Amino acid sequence: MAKKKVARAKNKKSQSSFGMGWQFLILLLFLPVFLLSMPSVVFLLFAMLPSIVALIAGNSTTPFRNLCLGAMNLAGALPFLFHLWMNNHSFEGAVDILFNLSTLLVIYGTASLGLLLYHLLPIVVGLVIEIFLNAKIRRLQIEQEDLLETWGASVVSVANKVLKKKQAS
Amino acid sequence: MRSKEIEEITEEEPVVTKGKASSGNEVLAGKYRILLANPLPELDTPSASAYAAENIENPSEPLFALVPEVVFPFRRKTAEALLKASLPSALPLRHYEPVFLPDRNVSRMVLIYARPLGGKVMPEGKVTRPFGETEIMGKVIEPFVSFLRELDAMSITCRGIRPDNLFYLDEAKTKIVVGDFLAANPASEQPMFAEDIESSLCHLQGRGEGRNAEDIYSLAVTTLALAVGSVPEFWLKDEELLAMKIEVGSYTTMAKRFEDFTFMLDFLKGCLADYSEQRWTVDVLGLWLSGKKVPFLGSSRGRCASRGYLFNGNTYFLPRSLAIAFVKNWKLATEDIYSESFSAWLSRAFGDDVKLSEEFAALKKESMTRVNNPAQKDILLAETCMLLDDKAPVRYRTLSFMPDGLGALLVNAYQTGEELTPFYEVIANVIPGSWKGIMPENVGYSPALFSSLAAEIKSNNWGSGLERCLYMLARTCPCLSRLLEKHYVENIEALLPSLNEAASTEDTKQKPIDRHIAAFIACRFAGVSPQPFETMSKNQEYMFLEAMILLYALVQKHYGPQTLNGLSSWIGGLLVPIVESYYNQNIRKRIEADIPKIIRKGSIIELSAYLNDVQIRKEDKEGFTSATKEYIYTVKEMEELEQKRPEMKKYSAALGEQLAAIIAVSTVLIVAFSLLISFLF
Repeated sequence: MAKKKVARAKNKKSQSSFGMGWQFLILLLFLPVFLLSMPSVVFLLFAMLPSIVALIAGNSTTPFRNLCLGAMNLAGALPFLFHLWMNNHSFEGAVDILFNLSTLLVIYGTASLGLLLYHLLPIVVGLVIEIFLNAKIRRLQIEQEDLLETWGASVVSVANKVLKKKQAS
Repeated sequence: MRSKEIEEITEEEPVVTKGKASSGNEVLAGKYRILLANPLPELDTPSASAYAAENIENPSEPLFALVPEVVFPFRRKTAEALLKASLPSALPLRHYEPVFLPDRNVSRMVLIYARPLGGKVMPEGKVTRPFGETEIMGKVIEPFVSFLRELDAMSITCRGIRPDNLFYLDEAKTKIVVGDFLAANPASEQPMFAEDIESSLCHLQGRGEGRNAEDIYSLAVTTLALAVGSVPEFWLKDEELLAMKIEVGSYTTMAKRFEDFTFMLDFLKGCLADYSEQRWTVDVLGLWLSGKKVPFLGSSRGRCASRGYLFNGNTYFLPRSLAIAFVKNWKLATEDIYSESFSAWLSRAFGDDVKLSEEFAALKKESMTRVNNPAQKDILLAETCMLLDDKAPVRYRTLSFMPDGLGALLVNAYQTGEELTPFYEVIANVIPGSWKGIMPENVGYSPALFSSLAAEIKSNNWGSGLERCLYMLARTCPCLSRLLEKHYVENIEALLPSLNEAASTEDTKQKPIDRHIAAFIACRFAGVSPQPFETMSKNQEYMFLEAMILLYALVQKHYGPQTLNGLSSWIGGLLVPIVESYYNQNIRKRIEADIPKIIRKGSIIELSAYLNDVQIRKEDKEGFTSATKEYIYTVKEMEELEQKRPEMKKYSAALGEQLAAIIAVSTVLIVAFSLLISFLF
């Protein structure tokens, strides 16, 4: 048991060091781009704030919530980012867009829409599945009623006997 | 489930196909009218009441009718012979017919006789004028010997010659005739003194038709009574009389003291011989009447032991007496015969004759093979009694009968409500089969019959059992079913018409069959298939009804009549279990709709063909099987779906999250793509 624990700890250590290495490499690769497109970075840093907060503070077991939030947040931010790129790709331009309340409303609104989508769709899907399930059960019930009507109550008693026998065996 | 139409049909009045016209206190029997309001007690017999009767065509003819109290196996052959042969020494029988008696609400075989105008020759309990030699010879012995010869030629017996059953046929009292002997079981009305030892040992109803020898014995005793002028002179108490007959012989007991009747001493000696082989026959009597010297064969009282056997405080020298004592103390005797002293007595008390001892040892050995039979001891005792007295009747516990009288005794037991277990044991263990006595040739007795009875009685099926044995033994016994009390059903042809009539009077909620009717059909319908009886015994109501209908259909097919509206309506009201035996509701509805139409036709054959349609039954069963399978499938499917429900909830949450992610990602891609397009163009 002790050996296993040691092995696990080692495994974790190696995984975390490997992850840190990758992050560092990515940072190195993106650093020039990061420095060249500083206005876009600043814009995105503020526009994607809900996603960043969710990413840092989130405790979701699945990545779907962050994905929903992030994707919708980005969908809301993209038109303004394009606008920035096309018109005045500068720090001031980015600040102008960000200080526009309606822009923020749209960006954060879509982000919240993503969150809403994440919470709402499982309910909707659950309802749809429930409806299908109930419809199938009802169809079977109707089939049973038809059998009962044509063959009488004996069909139930005989079937119950057979089922009991099977259960017993 | 009963359809209205079926109910309507059952309420219809059944058509009466047979019936006897009756009004108030009069009933009709052929061309004779029986006046039930006019009883004739002086002509009553111990088991039948006499009433005045008249011939509708000839009202001046003096007649009377005898109405038996109970049902018994009527001696039709004897009655037919009496009608056709018009025997001069018998009361002229004019007619016999089963008649419904409204005052008793039953049917009985009624006999119509010419009324004896001179009254009884020797009324019971009264001292009469002694008959002289001329009268004895001319009015009694000669005509009665001739009468017995004629009966002998027809292979029938009388079994009714006794002092109080002789009548003067004419007012001038010139002609003596024997009264009725057909309105009861053979010899059942005979007092013990008028019967020989073997017959005296029988139950009154189990004496059987017997042989001519018994009639000759009765004639001798009756003649002696007429010569003496009374009976009480020598008629001791029954038991004392029987004991004396066994000890010293019948002649010595009854006739020896009247040795002054020299003209008939030989006649009495010859006819009162206790062993029927030694008794005079009608041919010998003819020789004696013609004045020829007839050798007297002597009278033996049977084997006598050299030393007595002590049983129940008494010592017995005669095996016959010991057998009687055994029968009287049956329980004690069942233990006693297993004692060493009894075996020792058998081997030592009869000198060189070791037959008894050897045969008893063989019986005892055979008895050991019946260890599991609860009647083991009783059977051995019955066989031992037969061994000790091979001429005596079959005796078993409370029963004592001649093998040809077992049927009549059983019929009587059914009517009086006697215990039937001894009958069951006697037949099941083939006890009469061991009987060594002389059986009359005319009664059709054979040991093989008892073997087949044993096979029948062991079966619990309808159409078998003790009832079947009853109808096999008593061939002329009418059906004793309670449903047919008002109808004297003696043959199978009369069964369905009688049931058809009974439908209007009986409670139609009960089934129109019982074990008596089933046994009656099984016995009287030669070649009937055993299948309906087997099916009726399967404890399934609908199967029972179907088999019953099939049985009646077979009877209708062979014996008619074509229409039986009453019976088919009766049956129609009981078909609910058959209808309910079909699983398919559509088939049920169809049957419910069709049955009333078939019932209206009155054909049980058609009804049976419709209800016993194998194809419909097969379709119904197969359909039901697949329906059950389908139902089981749906139940399982529903159970599975219910089991999956929590799982589905989890699945739907995950799916929803995934779907949301897909939508979100798709949205961002679309937006990006749209922006890119707008940027490019």
